[in-house]
Amino acid sequence: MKPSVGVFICHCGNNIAGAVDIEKLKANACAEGAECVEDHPYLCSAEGQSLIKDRVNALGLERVVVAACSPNVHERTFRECIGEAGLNPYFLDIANIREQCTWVPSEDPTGRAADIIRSSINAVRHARPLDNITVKAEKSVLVVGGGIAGITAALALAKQGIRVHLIEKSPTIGGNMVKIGKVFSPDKLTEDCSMCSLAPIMSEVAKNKNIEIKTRSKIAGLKGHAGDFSVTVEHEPGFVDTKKCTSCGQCASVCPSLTDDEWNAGLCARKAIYKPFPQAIPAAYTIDEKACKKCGNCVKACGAGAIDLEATPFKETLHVGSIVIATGHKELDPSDKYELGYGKYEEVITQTELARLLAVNGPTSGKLEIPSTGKAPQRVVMIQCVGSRDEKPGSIPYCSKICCMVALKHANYIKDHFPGTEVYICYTDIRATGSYENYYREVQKKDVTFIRGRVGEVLKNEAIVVRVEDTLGGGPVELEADMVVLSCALEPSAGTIEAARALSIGLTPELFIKEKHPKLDPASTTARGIFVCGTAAGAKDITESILQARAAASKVAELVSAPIEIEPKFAVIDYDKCTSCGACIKLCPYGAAYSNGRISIDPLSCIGLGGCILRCPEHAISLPGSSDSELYARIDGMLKGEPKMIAFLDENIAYVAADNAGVNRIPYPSSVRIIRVPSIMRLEPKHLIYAFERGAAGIFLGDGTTNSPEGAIRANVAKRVEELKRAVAVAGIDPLRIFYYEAYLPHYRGLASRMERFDQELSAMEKPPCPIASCEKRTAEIK
Amino acid sequence: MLNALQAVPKDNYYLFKSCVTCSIYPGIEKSIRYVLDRLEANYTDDPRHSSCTGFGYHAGVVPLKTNLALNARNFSLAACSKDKNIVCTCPTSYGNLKECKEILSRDKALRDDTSGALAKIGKSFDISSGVNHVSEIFLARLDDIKAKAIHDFRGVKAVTHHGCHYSKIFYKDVASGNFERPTVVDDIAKGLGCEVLDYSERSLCCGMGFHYTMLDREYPRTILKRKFASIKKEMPDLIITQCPGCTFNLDYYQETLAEAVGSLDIPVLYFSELAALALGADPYEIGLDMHAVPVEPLLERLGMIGGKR
Repeated sequence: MKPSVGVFICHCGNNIAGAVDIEKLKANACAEGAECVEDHPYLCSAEGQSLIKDRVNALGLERVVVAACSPNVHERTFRECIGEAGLNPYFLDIANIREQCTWVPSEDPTGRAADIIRSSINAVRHARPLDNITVKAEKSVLVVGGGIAGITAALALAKQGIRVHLIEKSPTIGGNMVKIGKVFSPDKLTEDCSMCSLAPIMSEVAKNKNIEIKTRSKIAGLKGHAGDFSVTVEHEPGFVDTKKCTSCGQCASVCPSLTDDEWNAGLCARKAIYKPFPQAIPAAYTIDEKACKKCGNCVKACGAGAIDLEATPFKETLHVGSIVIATGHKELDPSDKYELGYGKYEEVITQTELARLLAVNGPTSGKLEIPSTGKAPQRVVMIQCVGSRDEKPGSIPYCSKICCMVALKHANYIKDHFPGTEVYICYTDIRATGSYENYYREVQKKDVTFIRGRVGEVLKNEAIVVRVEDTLGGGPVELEADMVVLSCALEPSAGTIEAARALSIGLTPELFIKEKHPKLDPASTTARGIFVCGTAAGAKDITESILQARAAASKVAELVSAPIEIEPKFAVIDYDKCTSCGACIKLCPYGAAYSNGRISIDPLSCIGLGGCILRCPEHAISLPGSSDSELYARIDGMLKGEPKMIAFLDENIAYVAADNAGVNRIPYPSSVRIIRVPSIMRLEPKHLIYAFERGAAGIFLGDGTTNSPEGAIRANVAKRVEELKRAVAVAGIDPLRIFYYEAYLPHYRGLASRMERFDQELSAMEKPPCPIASCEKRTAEIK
Repeated sequence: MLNALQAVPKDNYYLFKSCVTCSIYPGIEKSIRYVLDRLEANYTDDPRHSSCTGFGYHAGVVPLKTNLALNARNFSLAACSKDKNIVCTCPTSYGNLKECKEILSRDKALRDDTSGALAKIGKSFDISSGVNHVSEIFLARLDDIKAKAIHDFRGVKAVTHHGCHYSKIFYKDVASGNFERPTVVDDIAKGLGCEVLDYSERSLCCGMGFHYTMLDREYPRTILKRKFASIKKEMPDLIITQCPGCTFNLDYYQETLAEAVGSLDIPVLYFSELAALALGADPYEIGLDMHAVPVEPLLERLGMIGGKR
């Protein structure tokens, strides 16, 4: 027993009624067996909607077709309408007879409209009841990395009532910002103390009850999916109980072991038991296992009994809804650039080392001197772009964004605080964007000399000599220098690469975390539910890190703060057919399929393109709303009469472009009949062969999703089109009857012209093989 | 950040000989075998393998498919041998064999063609053998060489020269240092006691240039003038190489360019000759009298000859 269908045809004022014969359309609908056929001037109006609801209730209609404007305009409206009448909202089908029919100048709009309506009637009979689902994510987040980005994200989330686990590899939070000594903003032309800005934020993190800080911790493994992650975290022992330690420092005074102080860029030494810096959080001492001799002096000296040299590493599993990666960067080690003499000559240092020298809490208490000799330099030469904009392997091929401003900052500071010191900056371009230009101007006024050229070599005869070409006309220059400072590239930190591998998320060729769509979706990674912020995703300054951290926090909040309603547009698995072969897991570019005892598809990650359907060997996957039977029904509906060009258009781009063509009254061939699909990746050879057998002259495939962040992968689409062509060739159909067009939203004229071109190509071919008579007979048989 | 180094095999070497060594410096080959014997390494010295024809390939005389087929035969011989790890005397062989392996691994059409060619001569297609250079092997076994050494080279100042085809083609696979500043030979030399000096043209090619050396002698001369001038500033006692071709250029051109650069008279030794001497090999047994720049003065200074023969 076929479900009863009500067909409601809208006049849309004169937009539809003025171009087609409404009565004829009604008669056709009746002929298709519709139990109720009505028309109305404006179906979207309150009155029009009441009409629909009345008829549904009065006649007990089970399916509704609304023949009117594009579904992009009122599909939601009419779904709600029939929902109010007691029908499942997905028992509705919109026949687009305005944008894709009456607004398109052509020969027989009534005939076209009749086909479109018939197609909808056929399809809606196969519709199944669907509901939105609610996904409730775990209301907690794991932030990996306690630098400025990580702690900004953690605070932003904690203040929204979301529980935060903040893990950090080193014994304290703070990150690279601790080392830089001075920061500056574009509006002030002087420098501020970076610790004064950072330490209060670090305290806030420590005090916030929603944030649990775990230092000396890192990610070991991940299971689960967005909203429901199980993360294994490894904790290394610090051998000091941070709750008992009072930071008295007795332990350090009796410790016999010295090692390099990494918080001072290795320029001075510290003990094996140490407090990283006075503002460290947790505010406690900790033991560096590699330097520790296990002599036990500290244990004896500790009045609080806080030291336990027998502590062992342990693992724990955290259950969180989302993850934010904020693992930061490290300064490129210029030792491999042996022509610059780093590591060879003690006068050559990096900007980070200079920052520590100039810092009041640094190894020289802020005095500018060469670390090994203690002499104050008379001339400092800074070299920009060391390892940046450098295409050699081992370097970063693009700009590291901050080094020009760092050099200017240090140059300015040196000029102000150590007057008489000459400063030269050898640059490629000075990148001082926006109001940083003011700062650049001021620095130039202070007599810093700028040489535009890439330094070729730093060598030492008796003095250090820097060889560079002044490309603004000065020719080759040999500069004697007392101190050479290298502005090195920002590289991904080891923790960034480790975290990415543990979480199976994508990395860029330079091994930074790959943002899903750097322009439009910059805080997301390639895995749903895992976000990124700060320099882990690429070089940036503190302001940008903070901005991106807030963006990531916002995305996390979208996911975890309240249950999310998801439309039923995601793929589902029929467990009667599924053999758990795992083919879908391997091929899904969105990682939506996962194994959890049995194979499941995460509704949050699946974007409903349907590419997996063809690939499942058991055909166990389906897209509700785009089933095989519905597709066949739509194809049947469109193909009565002379041969047509069926155009399968993806719903987000190509279909909307077609709508736009109509809005702009652009003509395209009268033979075109458009069928909306999630993406052409949904299509299988059998659908196309079916269409050809039923009399389609040609099939036009339009997909624009390859241009958007959430769409099909271009290579996959190209591959699929080739497969479809080969398959129809095997079935005896000329593959030139298939035309693929990569659609663009604004290029609706292009869409129309491609259809014209294809139509001409088809006219030049022989008539399609299937005789019309037998097609009609088969259609009658189905009925 | 460059990739980690590939593992260097510790034994079972398939010795891949070099045409330049065999024709100009046969002593080099002897010295390699001497060292491997003293290390009690297992190796196969197969008379059936052919020259890799790298010289011809890089000079544009040997076409790609010929190069692939010919070296696929060499790989097949190695794969059927009891010692399968190919170690090359010459960096050009090293680079060429690795390139053939890479191309054949990736390109199915060429692979099918090459297998077909091998089938015609009754050989199986098997390119599974790894390819290393002998200097990597010596570096990996340096501790063993040092343990058995009876001479050391303390007080000898040396400069090193690495082959371009070793460090600059498969640049990620340089066993010590990096592609711009490889230190494989330096490490071996230092291990044997030499003081290794840096010089500004360390990364510069020796000027062989394959077809240049046949068709345009000016090219190697120009390059070598720069190279020699730079070496002369350091005035080392010794130049140490890892490539027979480089050895030839740096050795034989010193006299030719003496007018332009001033006389040098710095002996050139391939690293295995140095290692063999350290282990006590007789200098004449390993053919050191066949070098263009006399090695005898250095050997006398070190007490390795004078009194002998």
